[in-house]
Amino acid sequence: MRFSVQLPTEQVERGDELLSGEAVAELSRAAEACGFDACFVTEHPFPPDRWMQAGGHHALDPFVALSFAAAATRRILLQTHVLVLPYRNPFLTAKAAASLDVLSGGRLILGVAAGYLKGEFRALGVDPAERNELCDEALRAMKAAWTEDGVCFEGRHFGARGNSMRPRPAQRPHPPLWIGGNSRRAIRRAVEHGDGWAPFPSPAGAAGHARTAPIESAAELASRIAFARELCRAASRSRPLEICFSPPALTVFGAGRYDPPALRDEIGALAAIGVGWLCVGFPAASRAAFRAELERFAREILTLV
Amino acid sequence: MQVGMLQIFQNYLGRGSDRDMVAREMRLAERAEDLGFDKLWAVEHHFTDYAACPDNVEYLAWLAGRTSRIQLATGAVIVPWNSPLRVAERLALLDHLSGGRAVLGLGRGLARVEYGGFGIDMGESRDRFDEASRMIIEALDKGFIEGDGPYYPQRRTEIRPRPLRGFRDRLYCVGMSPESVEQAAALGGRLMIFSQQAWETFAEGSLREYRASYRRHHGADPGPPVTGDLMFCHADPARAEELAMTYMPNYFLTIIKHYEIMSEHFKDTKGYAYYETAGQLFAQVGLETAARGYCQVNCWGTPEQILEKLRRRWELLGGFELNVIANYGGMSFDTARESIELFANEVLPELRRWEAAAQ
Repeated sequence: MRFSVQLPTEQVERGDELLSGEAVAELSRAAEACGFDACFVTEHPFPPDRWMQAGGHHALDPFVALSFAAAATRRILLQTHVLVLPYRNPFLTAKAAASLDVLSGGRLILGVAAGYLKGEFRALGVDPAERNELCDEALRAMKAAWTEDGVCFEGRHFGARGNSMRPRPAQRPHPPLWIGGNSRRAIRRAVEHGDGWAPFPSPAGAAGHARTAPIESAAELASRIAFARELCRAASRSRPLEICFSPPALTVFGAGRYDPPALRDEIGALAAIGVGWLCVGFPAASRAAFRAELERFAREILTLV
Repeated sequence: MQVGMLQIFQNYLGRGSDRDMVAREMRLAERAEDLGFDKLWAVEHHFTDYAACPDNVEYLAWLAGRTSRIQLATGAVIVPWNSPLRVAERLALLDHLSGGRAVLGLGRGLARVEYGGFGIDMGESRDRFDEASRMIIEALDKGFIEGDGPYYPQRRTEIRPRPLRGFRDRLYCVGMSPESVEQAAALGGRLMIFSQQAWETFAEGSLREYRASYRRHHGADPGPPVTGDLMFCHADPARAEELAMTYMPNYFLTIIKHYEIMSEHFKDTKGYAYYETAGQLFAQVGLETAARGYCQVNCWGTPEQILEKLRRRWELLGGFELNVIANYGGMSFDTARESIELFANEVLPELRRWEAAAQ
């Protein structure tokens, strides 16, 4: 099992303590030293106040945040979890991703999804009703930009007629694409166009709000993973599909508290159904507190699973 | 299981502009391939708000240029309103334009107002269909068309560009009345219906009749029937029901009005006795009850609810092909889009894994 830890850059009131270049450098280095395989950031460029009042959060721009982490580290992978593809012109996304991949020495993992927050879509000038379509289109456009020259591509709102992008990403053909979203079609998208599937544990109440299918139990996740395996077989897909999940206790739905033996068992069960990556997050008010969480997790979990 | 999207080109009660109506159908059609649909079907209807797509072959030719994999199906070419020579030519050309993706659905036509616009006697529709449909299918097989009449005398004439291949293995016939069910079986087309009857009634009635007749005519079993459903999908079960029970009855009433189901004229029109019975039944139970019954057999609910309904239908019919109508009854474009996206997200990938057991 491999582990990715969230950099604590959502607490925008913490100022320099957590929200500074120095903090990102220190904490990503600490995560690397503790043996985490990756660190990740979320994306919410301009959320609506209503959503914030209902418990939402801000975030740094993912490419900026991960660049600071890249500059401070050597080996730890750098993951977007997840990038909302429809927010940006896909060629700009491809450029940012290729740039980060090159400058980090080939360490980017691109977790992507269609998004759901209508108020944020509108503020960014994107029709939320098109989000699935734009996400599909973006995946095709980015791959074309990363792998072809003289790209000709007619999108809904843009058109390339003989454009090329350099440098190519360090990873070939491109950084791994992990498709987020809990729906069967997201799974199918992952099987057909992606390198991994990254569902999110969604208690049914939250799922309706996030406009995604609920995944409330290990049994449901197992059934969705089985569906993914069948689609892989049907598509004669030989290369493996990474499955990246989050143990609920260590996400925004949990409180960050965990019982190590129980969590180790849960991790074993997730591994048994085919999960290969786990994304975890720790609430922390200071760098010291966050480093203590990293060390505890490394001691109690990482070294023992 | 094969799943298609059917487009009906309705300008509901004439409230919007035809320009918007056509633009919306085009947007949905462009999306269908990415969403994972196997086929895109388009109706042929003339002259009214109910449905305005006077040339589905033309429309599918446009879509051929925008797509690469999805099959392009006429749902249906209304044979009595068309010249069999021109139908054969246009289908042959569509097949060339699309790289062999054309699918031929044929129908008889039911609306007096449409027959009236063409100045064709509705009482001739059955015989016209019988004569012309055979000419079309043979022309696409052989590369030339000919016929002795009486409706379509045709000296032997070449179909150019030459048809890429015949259409017998991609042929569907609308069969809502016993006459047209028999015509479908005789012609060798797959049975195509619009979901209106209780599924048990359909399975024991028309479907059984069709299969028996098909075996008699052709000495083999037919492929699965295709059911055309109004579809509404929403993650919230209460919203799904509320909106389905708004838009589906809206559409049902436009059917009643356009086809004049409650009028007397079917009684005196050769070949349409079945529809007189339907009108009487609706008069007895009342349109509100009829509309509720209609909704119950169509495809609405949360993704899991829809899968459950279709699973029961699958078992009852022994397999079928599904065709969903996403945009109807005055719903906003965003509503239609969210519904079809959710259907494609959660229902469609599961349906396409279903395989019919041997019958």
